[in-house]
Amino acid sequence: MVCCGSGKRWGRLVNEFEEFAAPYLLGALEPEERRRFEAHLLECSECTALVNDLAQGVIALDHALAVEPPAGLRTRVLDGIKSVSETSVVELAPRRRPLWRLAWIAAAVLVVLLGGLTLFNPNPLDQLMAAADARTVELAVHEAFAAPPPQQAQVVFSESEEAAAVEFRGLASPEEGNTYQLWLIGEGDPAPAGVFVPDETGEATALLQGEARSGLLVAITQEPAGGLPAPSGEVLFSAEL
Amino acid sequence: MFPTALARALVPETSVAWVAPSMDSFLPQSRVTPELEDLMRAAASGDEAAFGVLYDRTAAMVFGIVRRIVRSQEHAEEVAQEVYLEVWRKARNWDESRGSVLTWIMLIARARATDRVRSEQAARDRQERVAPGWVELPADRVAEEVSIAFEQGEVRNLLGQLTDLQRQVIELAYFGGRSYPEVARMLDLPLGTVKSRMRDGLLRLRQALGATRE
Repeated sequence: MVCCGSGKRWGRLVNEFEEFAAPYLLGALEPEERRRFEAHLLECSECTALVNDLAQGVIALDHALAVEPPAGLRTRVLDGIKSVSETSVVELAPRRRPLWRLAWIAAAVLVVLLGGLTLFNPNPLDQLMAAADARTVELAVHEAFAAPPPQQAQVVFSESEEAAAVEFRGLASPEEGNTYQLWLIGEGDPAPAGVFVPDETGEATALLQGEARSGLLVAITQEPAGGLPAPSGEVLFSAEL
Repeated sequence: MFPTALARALVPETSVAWVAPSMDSFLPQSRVTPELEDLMRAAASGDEAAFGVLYDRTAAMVFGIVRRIVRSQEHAEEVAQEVYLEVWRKARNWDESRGSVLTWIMLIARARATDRVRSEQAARDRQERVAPGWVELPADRVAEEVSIAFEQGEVRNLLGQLTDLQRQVIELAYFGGRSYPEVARMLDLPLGTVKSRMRDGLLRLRQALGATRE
């Protein structure tokens, strides 16, 4: 998909993204396409206007088919937001990686300018996130994952850095005494690539140990705390780099 | 009547109990009822009571969307709760120049519900022991859902505005939670055709809405 790549077709101006507006509103885009379209919407007023226009059609159906929710839901929702307010006020504004990355690049440039004065040893995770070729791959949630699927499950991968990290939001904790374990799978046996558990809000970011290369498979299983040299659990999440 | 009912959702009955005295100047002078947009701005600054009113005004539509897509009552409650948590967390990100609050909330609801259903689809299909014909079954379920929905006059009026092809693609996505590539496979149509029929269909629905309102 090209940003606002407009061209004349049958005498009409065609924006290549336009055709995603209707499936987007109907919830019919695949997650990765949805994310790309949402990113596009931030910079394209044409598509934003089209989405708002077409939204009226969907809302007409939504309204006609409204279903009264169970009475207890209101209390649970309002209790839920109270706990969010108490624990994570600072997190209310979500991270904007592009800006953050820009800030990191600025910091890196500064460091280069100061080069020679200090020995700079950046955190590998920061280095990965700042890589110009860092891209995001959605993790597939496998059937063996019994808990509700996380709100976000993805791998950030940089080919130039040969590094990858998994990022989760809304990830259920592993069973007691267990941990999530990362695996990198190529030709041979799965190579252990680290263990992690989500924090109390269900967020987790973990750098994969080992060289992450294009074509390798990232898999996550649940294993006894500390991890194992070879996987014993079923694959819960996976993605190809 | 359809227009009356819709008007009720968009401009609901007067209820100002939540408005703190200091909020009065914040609301448009011409109206006693706060707009969803006002409620969202208040919620973004941490006003939980305003968020409660926002919930009351949107919950039936959100629950309808989620329930229709995830199907299980229990899961629908979980997903609806996630949706409102996300709305609360992202309240400050809602940008009125980019669209209405209602559109924004409905998009979040549909996204969270389809995320849930797609990751569970395979498991559910297996549970229902339809191993050989699982592609057909969703279409049957869609037909069933649609016929139930059709008993409601509003829905019949709306879907009746569409051509057969527009209706099929919209039904599979809207009632069946199917992605457009899945819809294309099920109907054996090119991807581009599916997307453009969805778009034409939504435009017709919007026009039908405009016509009934006038």
